[in-house]
Amino acid sequence: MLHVINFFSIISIIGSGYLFTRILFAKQTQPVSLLFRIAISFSLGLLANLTINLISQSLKIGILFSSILGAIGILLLMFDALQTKPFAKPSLSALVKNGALVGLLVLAYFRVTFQALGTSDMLLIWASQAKMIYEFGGLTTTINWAELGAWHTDYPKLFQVTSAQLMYLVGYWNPYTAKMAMFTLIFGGLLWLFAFYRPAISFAFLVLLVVFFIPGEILWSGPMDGIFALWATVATLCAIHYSKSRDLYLLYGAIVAISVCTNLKNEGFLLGLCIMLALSIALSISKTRQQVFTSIIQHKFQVLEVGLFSALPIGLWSIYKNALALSNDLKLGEVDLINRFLQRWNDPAAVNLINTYLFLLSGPFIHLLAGCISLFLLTFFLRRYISLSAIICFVIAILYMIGILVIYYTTPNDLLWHLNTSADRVMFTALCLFGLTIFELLQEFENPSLS
Amino acid sequence: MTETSPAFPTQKISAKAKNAGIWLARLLVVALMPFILLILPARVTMQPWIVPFQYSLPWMPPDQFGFSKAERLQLGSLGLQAVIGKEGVNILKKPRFADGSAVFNDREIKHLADVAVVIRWLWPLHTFLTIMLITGIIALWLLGADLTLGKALSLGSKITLFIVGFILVFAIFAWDWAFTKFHQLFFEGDTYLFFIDDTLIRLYPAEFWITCTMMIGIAVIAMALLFWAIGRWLWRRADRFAITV
Repeated sequence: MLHVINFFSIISIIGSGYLFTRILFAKQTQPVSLLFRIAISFSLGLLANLTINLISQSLKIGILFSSILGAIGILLLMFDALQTKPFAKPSLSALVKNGALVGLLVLAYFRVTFQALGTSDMLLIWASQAKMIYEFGGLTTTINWAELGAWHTDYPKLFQVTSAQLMYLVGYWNPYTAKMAMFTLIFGGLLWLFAFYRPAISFAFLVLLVVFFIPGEILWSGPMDGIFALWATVATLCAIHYSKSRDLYLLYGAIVAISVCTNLKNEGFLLGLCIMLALSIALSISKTRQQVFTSIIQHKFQVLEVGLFSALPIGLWSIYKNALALSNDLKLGEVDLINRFLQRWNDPAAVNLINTYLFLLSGPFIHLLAGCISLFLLTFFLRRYISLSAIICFVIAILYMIGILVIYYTTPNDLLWHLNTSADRVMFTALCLFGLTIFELLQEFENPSLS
Repeated sequence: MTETSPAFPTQKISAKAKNAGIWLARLLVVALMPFILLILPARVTMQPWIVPFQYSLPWMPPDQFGFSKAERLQLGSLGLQAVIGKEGVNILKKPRFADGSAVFNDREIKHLADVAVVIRWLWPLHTFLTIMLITGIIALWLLGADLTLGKALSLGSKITLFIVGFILVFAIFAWDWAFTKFHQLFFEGDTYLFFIDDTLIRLYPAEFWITCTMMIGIAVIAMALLFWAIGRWLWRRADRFAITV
């Protein structure tokens, strides 16, 4: 029963999101692949569902609205899909792509749902918060997080609400139902990733890196860091492809994916900031900036629509946090922040500790950085030209890395404890972004005409 | 003498730009080769296999203060693990003698912690620079610059051999000075000096280090000669090709 409900909830999320996608792409002139449409619909559906839950503060109302919207949306999606290419014979490349995607989804489903809750973070933060929402019947302001002794109560609630909805539908909580929503989020991330499919080694490298090598077990069993890294990769992928092709639907994709990231983990804000900064600078100094801005102004209502829709859940969550005085354990808004930063900056032992944990002990940072620089050099030696998208991706990765460094330099917690308990997981995203740069550079070798 | 045609279909870049690329790639190869060749054998040597291997050698003296071979194997491996492993030197605080005193004293643990820091940065740096060296080699190969690649490999090997010779001269004629200077590069004061009955000296006596140094030295010389031979072969091949063409 649980599996059937989970399946229908995913369909419902896609359907409800498709209603918005349809309006958004009504005047779209460039062809957008069905997978991309489904991926963006899924993301918009997730955000819509969270928004309804935050407004109604009731799981019941959230499920009701999402189901109705989902049913209408899925019928429209089927109708549109049949109208576009009713009897088109799939190519070999499409078969490989769909086969690989389905294979990965099946693997993800088994890995996630046939294993009980794993690490303490998952149990004590994410799953326990989902259980609280379930017990209270919704993400209501009546939940006194502090009194319940919950950890990291200020964390965004996308996973928790999605998980609580499933609990509500099946009618019970256990270590398996709590994890079900992880598959939902991985499902969305994989759909996005395969929307950028290319029959090439570079794509296989990217999938292996983001899904298996970097997060490892944590993607299936642990805290949100693996899933966040997957979505962060997708958001960056959309943004850098937008910088390449200037197709607005990619910009919409980037905005929506960034929004999902901000609703998954607080690091989403940092990622959004890095992407916006790198993209804005790159587009401002490009020769075609005039066309870019004209195109955005011409489609201002769509951009605004996506922007507002994406900002709504996190905006509502901020109001909720303020109302309940939920604060971040990193105390980022405090004046003491600069003092803490300077104190650690001037302490060689602290600097060494942070550098060691982040650069040496947290995964293959050196290898990926060396890979990026190596491919940059090779591209430069051989072609005298490095694509803008690869540079933007590298800049985003570096900016994100700097952000992570600043977080550790300013942490009010015991530095060693903080590094020990989080550094390797927090680095997932940075590592994935360096991997993405390698993917972009490899593409140029595979198909020089791309740039 | 001309370079052969490129192995990779490069964009239409000017001859000047191509030459600049070749020059930069050659610089990478020549500058990085000595460091890569000198550190690589040290990395291979500092692995768990080295302790049992060393203790199995006939010239390795027994411990004059009472450690059995099994104890030396266990503690020697632990010391190495503390330096190269993720656990760090904390694992050295656990072993105790029968009277309850620590097997490794604070001074020894401090020294190994210093060594661990050096290694923790040196190994990744070596990995990074190895990838850069390979990049330089691949770039020269893809640009069809076999002649330059041959010359660069040959020159890099010669520089490596020169450095090995330089170290050898100092080791023979001014060992104490060289030993002190080497340690002062990485460690503060005289923290690297120990008493003869300290655990580190009992586990890793002079014979241990002499064997290691010889193994590393021979490996460096062998690799340098190999690369020199490859370089010469590429050089000659490119020369012959140029004449034939």
